Amino acid sequence: MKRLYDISIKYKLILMQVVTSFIVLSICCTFFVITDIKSYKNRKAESIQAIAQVLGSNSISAIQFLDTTSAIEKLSQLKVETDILNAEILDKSGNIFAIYTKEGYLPQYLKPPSDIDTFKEEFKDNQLFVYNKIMSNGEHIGFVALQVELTELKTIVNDKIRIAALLFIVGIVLALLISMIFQGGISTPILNLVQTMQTVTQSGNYSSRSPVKGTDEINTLSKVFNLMLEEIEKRETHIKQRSQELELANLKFYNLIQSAPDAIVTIDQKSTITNWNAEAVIMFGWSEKEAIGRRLTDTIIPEGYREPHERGIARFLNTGETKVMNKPIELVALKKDGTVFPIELKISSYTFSGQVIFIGFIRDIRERKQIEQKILSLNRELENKISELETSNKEMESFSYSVSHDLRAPIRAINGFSKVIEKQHSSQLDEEGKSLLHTIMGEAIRMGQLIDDLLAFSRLGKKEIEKSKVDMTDVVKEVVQEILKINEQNYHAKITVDNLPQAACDRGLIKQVFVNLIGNALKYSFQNPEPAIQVGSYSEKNTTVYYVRDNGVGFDMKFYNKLFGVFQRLHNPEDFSGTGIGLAIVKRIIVRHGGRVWAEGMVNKGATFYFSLPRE
Amino acid sequence: MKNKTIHFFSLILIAYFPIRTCAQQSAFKAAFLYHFAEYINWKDNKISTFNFGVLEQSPITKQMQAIANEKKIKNKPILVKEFSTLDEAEGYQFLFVPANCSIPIESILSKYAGKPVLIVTEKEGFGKKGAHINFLLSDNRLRFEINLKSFNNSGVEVSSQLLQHAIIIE
Repeated sequence: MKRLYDISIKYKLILMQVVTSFIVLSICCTFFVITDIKSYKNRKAESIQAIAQVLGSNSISAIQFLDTTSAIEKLSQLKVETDILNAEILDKSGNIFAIYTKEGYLPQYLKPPSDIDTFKEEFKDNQLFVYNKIMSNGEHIGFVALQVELTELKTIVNDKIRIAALLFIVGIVLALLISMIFQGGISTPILNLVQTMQTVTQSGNYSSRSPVKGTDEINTLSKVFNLMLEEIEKRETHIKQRSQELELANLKFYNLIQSAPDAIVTIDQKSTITNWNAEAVIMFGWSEKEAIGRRLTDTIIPEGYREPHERGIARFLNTGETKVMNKPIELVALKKDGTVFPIELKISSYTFSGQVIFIGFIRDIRERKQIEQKILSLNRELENKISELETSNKEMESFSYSVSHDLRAPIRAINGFSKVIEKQHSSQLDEEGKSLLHTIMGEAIRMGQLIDDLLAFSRLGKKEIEKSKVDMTDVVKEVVQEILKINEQNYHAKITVDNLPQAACDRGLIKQVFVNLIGNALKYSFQNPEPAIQVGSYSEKNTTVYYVRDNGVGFDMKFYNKLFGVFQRLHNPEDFSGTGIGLAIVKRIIVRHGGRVWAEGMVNKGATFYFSLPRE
Repeated sequence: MKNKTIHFFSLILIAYFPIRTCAQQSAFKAAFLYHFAEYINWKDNKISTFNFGVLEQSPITKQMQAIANEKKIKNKPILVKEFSTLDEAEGYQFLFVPANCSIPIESILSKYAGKPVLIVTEKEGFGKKGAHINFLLSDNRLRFEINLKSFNNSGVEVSSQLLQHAIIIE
């Protein structure tokens, strides 16, 4: 039976057709031959039966009158029937009454069968035996028995077999031809399909297609197969693309991990190490080969921390609770050589196929710890110094306040007594005396002014700053008006005020800043025939810078360091009045606002003063 | 084959029916007489029984009686009777004259001339004398003569089929 499976469907179809035809034709031909022989036999039997009947009825009287001569005479008439070999008339007990035997043949006793009814025929050895009862008036008086040679039967059988064989051969050949013609319709598409399948399987080339020529089941199969191939081809392309992407991603991931500045270690939920990057090798002394597959607990966790680590993992796996995950924690770790050192660790986790994987980012913080220690001690020192400084500052302030205050009394006395001298004793003084007295009075007033300024400056250190939103343009305009009211000679100066952005500051103190800066600008540009002052602003980083520019005498940048010092003056007080404390106040106010003060200038080319305020 | 042939010849011998005894002879004759009826046509239409008469005595009577007990002729019963005088034989279809009959054949024939009575004898020369049918033995076998002239002149007709088996006397 296995052989049948190895035969091509093409030959199977032909074989099927031929075998079916063979069986059908065999049955038909056999039936045809048998029927023909049977019908010939029937015809023969009928005709011989008829002869026997005639013979029987003709022999009645001969039997009745025991006239064998007459009977034999009657039998001898059968000579014309050449195929009758023996003819006998028998009495009712089966004894021969008369007999005829064809010339050249042996006589033979034809014993009537015991089960005979009225007649009987038997075919035996290509011979027909016919027995007929002779009846007279309902009385059985004897038998007729005939032995007939079936010479024609052989010829007929031969003929029929010949015809049947011819039909059979023609039928088989036709079946073969027809099946060979029509099997193509079934087998060719299948063979094509199989060919395509083999091509695809052997070459792995999914671009080949099976030809489709119709809409029957096999062609539908081919069509569906082609669609499947198309789908597979698409998927293969997709998979190739995906695997490239995956490879790239893997490479990226590997390089990322390897080049990370921290040690990156992954473990599975049994605490077995699955990833170990280059930094981990350096940090812990275990090579990647050694580390992967080891238990993390036995590798980098110092004894005493191992049991809590195991418990932590178990608790996280059971309840999802964690105290250490997703935030940096500081711990200690064990190096291969037994060293224990401080680390910063951040653990995160993810789940893949039901397995939890933990990722640890580990940083060696030995150096940081040392620096932290140093910073801590430096800070402590600094704090000590600051408190010392604050104490001495306070002392200084109260000292200078009391000194300033105490200084005012003698100044007032000098001033008062000078006025008494001028009123009551001016007649006793000559012109030079009077001039000297005025000088004394002027210096005393200036001294008073100095002390006032100094007091104001020292008060600034104590005063609380109250910040609010302040319209700077408004403040500047107010300042300009006030200055012009006091000193009319400033009218000829050209003052331009840009649109200034708002600032969060103490309005009173900022106003003081502008009073000082604009006052300075007017003072030092007085000698210019066309004094011009500009107040403007610009943004820088997260601060707003305000400036006041003039075209006055300017200053030499060599002395810039002295510019904002207390009682520091770059110009001759005879040329320019002032106590030398204005810019120190400006600096102090701005610093207390968290800002910065600076200036640019050149001799006789004017000066620009800047201050910045943080933007809220 | 040899056995078969021997068997066959023994059968042939048996089938020749030679007459050996007197009783056998009368039995055959009775059977023949019975069969004659089939081939004879009586011109008398009113036959209700086939009457079989035997003149004087003969063993055939007994044989005939046996047949009459079992069979019919043309669906009619057979009546067998022996009688001694010709007068008694009135109304009979068959008249058998035994060989040893004391009544001369001529008187019998003249008595029934032209009547529907079949006269059967069993003596050499009686056929010629005018009996319808006369039994005789030839080669030890029972045979019969038919006198066609007698049939022509009488009230019975004979079928040609019967003639096939008879010795014809003109």
